[in-house]
Amino acid sequence: MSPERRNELLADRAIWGLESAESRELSTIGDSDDLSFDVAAAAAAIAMLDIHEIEQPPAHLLEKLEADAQAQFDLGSGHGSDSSEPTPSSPPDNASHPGWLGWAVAAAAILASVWLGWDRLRPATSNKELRTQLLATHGATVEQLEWNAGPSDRRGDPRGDVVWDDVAQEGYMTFRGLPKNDPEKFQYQLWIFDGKRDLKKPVDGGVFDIAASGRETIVRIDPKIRVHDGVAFAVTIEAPGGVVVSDRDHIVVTAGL
Amino acid sequence: MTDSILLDVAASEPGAIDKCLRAYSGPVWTLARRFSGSEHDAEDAVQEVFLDLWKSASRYDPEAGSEITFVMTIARRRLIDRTRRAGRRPNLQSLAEPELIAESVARDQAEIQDDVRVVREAMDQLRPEQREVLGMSLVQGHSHQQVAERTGMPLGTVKSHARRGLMRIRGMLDKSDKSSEDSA
Repeated sequence: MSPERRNELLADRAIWGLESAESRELSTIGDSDDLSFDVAAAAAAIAMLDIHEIEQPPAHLLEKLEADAQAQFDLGSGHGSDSSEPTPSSPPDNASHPGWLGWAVAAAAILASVWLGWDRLRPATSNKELRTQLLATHGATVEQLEWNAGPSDRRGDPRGDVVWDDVAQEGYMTFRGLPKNDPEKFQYQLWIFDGKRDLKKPVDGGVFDIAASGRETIVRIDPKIRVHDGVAFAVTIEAPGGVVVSDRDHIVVTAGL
Repeated sequence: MTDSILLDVAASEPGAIDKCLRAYSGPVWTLARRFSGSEHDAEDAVQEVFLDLWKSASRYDPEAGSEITFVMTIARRRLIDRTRRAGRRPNLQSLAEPELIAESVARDQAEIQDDVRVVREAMDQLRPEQREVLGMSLVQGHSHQQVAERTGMPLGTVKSHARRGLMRIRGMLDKSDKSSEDSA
């Protein structure tokens, strides 16, 4: 990649964010953690914000923020610091960045620690761990949407969410309250709506079962073809083994629709 | 107690959280309102930003840069992520009339103004179209397509102006910092 293209991508990321393909392109170079453009963008945004345009957040939001902080400090080790996390294996090279960019490197380490957490370093075994790992390692590109109950009268009282990452082609569905199924009578099937494809033809995301309604169930998404831009998700009740095209008679949950 | 709000937060100093919220919740909230399609989305975004901040506070290095830029870098990254995930851009029509910030917070803003003096000087040297495109993108939260629609510029021109403007600011900040290091 040419230095010009690298700078274009870093500038675009700082100003507007990147498409999945651009993120992949940037990830092919070794210094995609360079936040100097992000810092310049933040500084420029502050400079352009007129003092008279600064708004006071609503009181109830401030209360939530205080409560979040309290929970963070009560539950976390080190009273809100992330010092329990191991030091990144490659210390930031401050010498390669001139002065004001110094903490940009530190900020890169922060983002790495937030998004590339130490869980990445050890093998995950359960879907719950894998889901956590995906959020930690691909937080910048993961789509996370809450389930909404669908129109089917067989939906039960479903809750939970779906996480999906176009870059990693990996995702997980979390359910509570979706009725237990007998796999010999029917199965649940996920449909993924790809923003880069005809939305009338969602991608088959795989079939799955719910063993217990009241227990949290995390299911790994198994798309049959590549999903370029997963924008919405739906789960239907289908015949055992699933179908190629759903008649959508029993939509039990949706997300992003 | 240190001179850094963030380090005080990380050290669980009494009153540090309140001080941090008074200093930075206004700018973060203002930016979040502009990037978000609704007030509810903006509230969720601000909560996510501050959760990131609580986790990251101990990593702030006062000698390396200002707190407000540190905070806003984290905030902007989170807001951009949210906007792209949601697959939609802000609806400015949904914003209510802003309330002016409280006087105590305004005092903090004076410090912020001082912090960004260098950036303002750098921006004065940008071409008008570069300033316009960057302002619409960075402060109003418009996508490059929206900037192109509103200005009538071709999409490629919008990207070019924004990139060159940002690269110039970055270069000027770099130069300014080198000068201060040399004179130290």
